[in-house]
Amino acid sequence: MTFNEINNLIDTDNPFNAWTGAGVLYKEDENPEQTMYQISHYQFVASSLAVQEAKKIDSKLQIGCMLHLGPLYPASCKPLDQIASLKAMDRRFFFSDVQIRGTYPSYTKKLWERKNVKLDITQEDLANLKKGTVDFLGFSYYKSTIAEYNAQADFLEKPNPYVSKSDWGWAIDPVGLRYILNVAYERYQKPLFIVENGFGAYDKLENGSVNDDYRINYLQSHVVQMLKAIELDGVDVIGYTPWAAIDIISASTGEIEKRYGFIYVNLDEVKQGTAGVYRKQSFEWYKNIIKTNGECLKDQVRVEK
Amino acid sequence: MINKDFLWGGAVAANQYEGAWDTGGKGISVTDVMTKGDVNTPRKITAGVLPNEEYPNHFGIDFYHHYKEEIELFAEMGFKCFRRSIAWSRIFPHGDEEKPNEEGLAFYDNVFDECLKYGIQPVVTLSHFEMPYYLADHYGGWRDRRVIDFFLRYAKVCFERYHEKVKY
Repeated sequence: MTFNEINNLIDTDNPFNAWTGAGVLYKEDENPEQTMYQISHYQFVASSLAVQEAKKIDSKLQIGCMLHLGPLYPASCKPLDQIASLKAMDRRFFFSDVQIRGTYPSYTKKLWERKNVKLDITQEDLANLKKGTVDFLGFSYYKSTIAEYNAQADFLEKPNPYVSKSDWGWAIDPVGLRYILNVAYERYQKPLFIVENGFGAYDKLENGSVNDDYRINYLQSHVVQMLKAIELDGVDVIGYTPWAAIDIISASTGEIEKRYGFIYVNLDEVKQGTAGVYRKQSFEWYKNIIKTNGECLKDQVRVEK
Repeated sequence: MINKDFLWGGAVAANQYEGAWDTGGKGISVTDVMTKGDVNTPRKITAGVLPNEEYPNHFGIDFYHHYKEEIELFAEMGFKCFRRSIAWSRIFPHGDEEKPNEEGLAFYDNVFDECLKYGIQPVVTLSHFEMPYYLADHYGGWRDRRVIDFFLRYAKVCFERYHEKVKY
């Protein structure tokens, strides 16, 4: 995959997106949206050139793009909320539309016209975008939200009142994973790779392990929905790699305390030179999922729900 | 039921777990200048690495020195693949060099070989929040068209070096 969660760039209100994704700090006197489209364009061109180079070196190499993905459902069945959801999803899919189809979508060209966005885009760039389309779509899935029509903005993003929340306030929507797999597959007919999905929690180490049934419940419900997408809907999914394989420091705060892994890491012990790693309950759970290739969940998959 | 080749595994990003931020010829990356935050305090982006700040990405979980033990645990879980990124600044410490840093390339050879020993396919992200800080500082990051060529050079080095070990 070329650029991780490339579509985080679209949100110019959070300065970390442009910094971590592109090494860019927006200046006070510039239009961040214009800059965002320019740096995205350079990354699209770089990605397309990298794909072409990869195929020259080894035609078997499979290069993907990578998105942060989750549905923004319509807030209601009002027609204008359908449009709001559509526009919200276009913003999310804009990046893969370019990297998979090799051309700028018409909704983007119209937006640039309307907002007078002027970019450095050459004919050679456009030819390269066409020649270097990616082979698959990798994406992270954590949660869903809703899009509500708004006269000023295209839409307002809000929490989904119909899904449950974790003790830490996270929306939990496993069905949203099946939904987005279907939406993305219908949009592109390309293989999909779920390269992040997970549950952050303050784990408690007791007797050399962690009883993280909350993580097992979260992951299992998502795996079941993924298997439904494969088995019942015929979506082509290459793989599933939960975030994270092991506890690591968080991207948003740099702390280790909000933990995601199957393996508990005691950072103090690591710093003192001992191993400091412990298998959580979810370690054994996942081992069984892999060993049975998901067969152990088949009773839950076959039920239409 | 599902395909026998289905890639069950787990994911991480180099900058959040490797540590060894200045070891093996690695350059400073954009996340190496982000301070520690918490729920109430956002992280800060500093102008270079400053002496009195705490930078959690510098140590990560020190996978750089523990990769064998950790990959062994992934193998015990039965991983078919391990998704991770290559730290761009380990291969091109500043980003605009002509030649890559051999020590960085050798490190990923070791990691991939260790995975393959257990039948674990490495799955690689080329750019996961860790572009060289030098490119951000001297070129304004991806504002500058020349960064396309620097990225391409880096990507090409990775494809040539690892194409027999990495498919995705």
